[in-house]
Amino acid sequence: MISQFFILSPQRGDTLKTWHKEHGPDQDPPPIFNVDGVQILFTNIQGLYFVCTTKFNVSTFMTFELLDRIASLIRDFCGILSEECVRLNSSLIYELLDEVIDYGYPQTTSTDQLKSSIYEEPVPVKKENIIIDSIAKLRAHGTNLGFSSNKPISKPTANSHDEGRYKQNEVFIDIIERLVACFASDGMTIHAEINGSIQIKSYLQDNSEIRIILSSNMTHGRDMYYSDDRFGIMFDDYKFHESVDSSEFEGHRQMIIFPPEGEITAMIYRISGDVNLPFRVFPQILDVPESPNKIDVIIRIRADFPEDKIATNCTVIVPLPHITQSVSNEHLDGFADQSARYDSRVRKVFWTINKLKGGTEQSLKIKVTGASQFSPAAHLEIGPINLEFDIQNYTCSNIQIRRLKVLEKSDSLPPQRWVRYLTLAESYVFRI
Amino acid sequence: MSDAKYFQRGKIHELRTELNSEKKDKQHTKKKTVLKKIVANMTMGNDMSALFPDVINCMHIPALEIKKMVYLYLINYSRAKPDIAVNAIPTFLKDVDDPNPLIRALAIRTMGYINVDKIIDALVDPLRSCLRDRDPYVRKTSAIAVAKLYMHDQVLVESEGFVDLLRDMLADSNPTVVANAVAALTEISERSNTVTLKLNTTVANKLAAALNECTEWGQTYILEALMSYVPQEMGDAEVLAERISPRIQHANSSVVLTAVKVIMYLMNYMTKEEDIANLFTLLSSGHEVQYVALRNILLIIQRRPEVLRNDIKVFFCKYNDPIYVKLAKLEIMFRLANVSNVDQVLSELKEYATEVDVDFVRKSVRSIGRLAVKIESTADRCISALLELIQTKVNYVVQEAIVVIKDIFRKYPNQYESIIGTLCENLDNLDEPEAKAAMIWIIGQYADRIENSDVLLDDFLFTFLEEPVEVQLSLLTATVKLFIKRPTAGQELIPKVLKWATEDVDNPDLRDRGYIYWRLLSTDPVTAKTVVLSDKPRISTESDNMEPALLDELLLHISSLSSIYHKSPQTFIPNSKIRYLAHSPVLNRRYPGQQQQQPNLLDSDIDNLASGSLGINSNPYNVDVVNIGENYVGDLLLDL
Repeated sequence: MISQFFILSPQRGDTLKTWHKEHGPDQDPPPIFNVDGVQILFTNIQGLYFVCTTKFNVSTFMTFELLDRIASLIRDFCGILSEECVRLNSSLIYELLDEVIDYGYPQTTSTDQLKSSIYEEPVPVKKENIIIDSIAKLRAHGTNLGFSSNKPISKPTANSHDEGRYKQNEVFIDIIERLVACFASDGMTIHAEINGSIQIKSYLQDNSEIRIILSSNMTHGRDMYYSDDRFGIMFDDYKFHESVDSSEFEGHRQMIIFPPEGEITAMIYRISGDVNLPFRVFPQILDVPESPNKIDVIIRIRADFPEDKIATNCTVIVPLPHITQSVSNEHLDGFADQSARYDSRVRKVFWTINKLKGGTEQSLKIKVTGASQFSPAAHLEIGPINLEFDIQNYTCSNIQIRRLKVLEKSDSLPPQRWVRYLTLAESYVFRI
Repeated sequence: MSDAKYFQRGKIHELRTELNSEKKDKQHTKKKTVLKKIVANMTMGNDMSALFPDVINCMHIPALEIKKMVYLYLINYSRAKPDIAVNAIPTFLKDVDDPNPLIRALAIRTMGYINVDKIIDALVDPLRSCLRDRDPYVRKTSAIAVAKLYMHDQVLVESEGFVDLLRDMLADSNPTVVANAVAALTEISERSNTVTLKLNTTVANKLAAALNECTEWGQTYILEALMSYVPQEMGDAEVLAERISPRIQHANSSVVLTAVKVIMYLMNYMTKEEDIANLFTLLSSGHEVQYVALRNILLIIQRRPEVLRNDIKVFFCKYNDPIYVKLAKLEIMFRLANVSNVDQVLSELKEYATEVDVDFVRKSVRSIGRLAVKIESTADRCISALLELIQTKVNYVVQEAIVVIKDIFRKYPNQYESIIGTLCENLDNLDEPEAKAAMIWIIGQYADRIENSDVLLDDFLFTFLEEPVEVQLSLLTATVKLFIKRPTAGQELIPKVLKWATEDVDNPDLRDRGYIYWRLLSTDPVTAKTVVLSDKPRISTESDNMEPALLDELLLHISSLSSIYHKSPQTFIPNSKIRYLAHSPVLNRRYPGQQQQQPNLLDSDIDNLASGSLGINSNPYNVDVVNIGENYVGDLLLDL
């Protein structure tokens, strides 16, 4: 089974040397590779490499799931996951690993079960160091990582030996949708897909039961016959965490959850086909008649979501041909909170709009001067245009939590409930 | 108190003094602190073994935190100090009788890790009693300890009857214990020549019933073990498959894919089909999981193409997919391409071919060519797409396009000669052997249609002696073709080339091929013509399919490393056991050759993405001749 486990930090200069020696520094290794008969499996979680080595024909999924769980456990027990935190809490993490893996076999990764056998106290990490843990960073790694709002992260899931310190009674629920969309040059949608997840981070006492009812205009692909709302959203697939009782989901969109302390992904779902896409981009390439060495690329972006919502961190990325020599940008709508710059190293224009209100439009004119004439082949090299953004309090599927009820068993503090919605671009591409 | 300061390089004697300090230390906080320092130093790779006797002295301290750290230390250094490690035995023996199950388990777990003869001997008796402990936590730890012991001393485990004890544990009331016993047995049978895990129908069904109560990891172990069950009746296989199928909905991808593996295995023993379609959600996970899923899907669709419900769009590449995910997706897109979706696929590939990542672009261009070979009705569009790409003059795109166009010419002779002119405009930029060889082949093949073919060949021949063998072989054959088709144009070149090939080059393939041509041409030019210009065997992309025997084997290894590398485990893990479909009265024989021994291996090198499995193999043509004689005969006949 698994022979060794490491946590490496690229910030401290740990790199996968053996790989780079053979393949050069630019090529990223695939997550599984083989060096002299040792199989190496690794994943990058919040800037740290979690690495396993083995000499057996192990189950790869098991290994990756395990690496992911270890990361969540560190988050649960230490409050956050960062290099500093791992360093400060090395004895605790040793103790954890000892319970989690025995002889290379994962035993349990449930925070609840582990609480009873872990004795070390977590060492808190200073507040100001936590801010790195922002959405942007999480998105950069693109996986379904812990997503609860920034607030709870600094609170370790304290263990039961220390009753006095442990008073909060709250639950955080995030609905996160990652969008994958691709548009053809004529504006038609080639492919659109929502990868959604419902993340729950629970600090409830007594493992209270949570009932969640999602807004009912949804149907699963197969049971559309039962739906009287033909505009309802169709799930292509969904899956629940094992702590979720989903028996009433088909009929009433109700999930009954007994969340273990810490963080879980209660549900993941996939919706494809007819999706409300929040952005359209209209690119236009104009030849400059008097000089064949120049072209103008005009990009117009339209926000197709309700006016009370605001998209943040919008970045439009436009690749330019390799003959590009110089670039100047002209904002067509005078509007302060945006900037555009050309990075000649990667030959791309990055147009950043910090805040874009629903229902509005922005345009940018990129004047490109080439080293030689713009041939049709050079035109081919422009694009595809890429869009990055996040929209708070908005889901493209319109999925909403209609009811959220925490059933209390004891006379504890009234539970606090926090719900957040977030839409992110995972891959949002316009072809030219 | 932070652990960071423990990471200072500790001076051994300072640590020793601190550890042995007689000062009042009621809560053992000071000892704790020192031990933390020692552990931290250990992590950094500083040798702490000199402290062994002092650390062992702390074993008796009744604080669990301290015990854990001491045990961690023991695991690390016992092998280096076996003589002193023996001193730990009395405390171990006390701990395995401790009223606290956590401590009993901890002692058993730690002893199992230590490969020191005396400790192993001391472990035997307590392990036997702990395997029957009243607390399930102790029992599950003991089960794994048997597997550890087996690694140290196989004979001992077998002679002490531990394997039978493990077998009995399959009937334990606690599912976690069952799961660990199963895991231990699986590992033992994987290592052993004498012990083999075989499940009968009753046990298999009991295990399947325990699935519901297990942790996700336990479920994986049990599912894995079910691969050792050989159904003797179709009904048994069906019942079991039915029981397992709900696992496919599980949130843990490891459970999902192991369940798929078992169901696909069981389907070899039944006629009914189980639905295993629900693999898409795996593709919305992190890149690593996606990659593993894609490599496995690639295997699964070769046996059961229907599982993907024609939803090819799921496999379109996202701009931020890492290269390994993109390449895996390309391969699947190519395999799923058929007459009805080929337009979509082609327009995607055209987009990919203008992206920036060189590897990805190359594979995309190559896939366009392979698509033309695979689906005849789309060949025209593929050719025009390739021509468009050649116009970009991007060097590697041009070369890649020429390589695949050669295959298209082979597949559809005499249909696309009109584009030769465009190809010839790009001769100067060719610097890769494969592209050069392909272009030379085209020139030779169409020597009579290309007006200046002799001039073009002469240009290439200028550097003949410096070229790699691949190009030299191609030049030799092309010159012979030119000579046969247009004797006047070729008569100056042919003696020169034959002389080089036979006298100036060391490579035996080239030399022998040269001699064969020489003799052919000098003894009987008419026969030479029929041999050299004979009809070539048709090519198809079917040869990209995996050997059925290898595919069968890999399907038994779904989700393991084998399924990622697409290699049999024996090739990268020494002494691993071969898995095969065990014989049974109900084993389906749908696929001839299913039971063949020794599967052929793919050439693809997993460490090198650039030459990943997408490429057309150097010998893509399914002709048996290759296996008969020496290699060059094969090459000669194939490459004429």
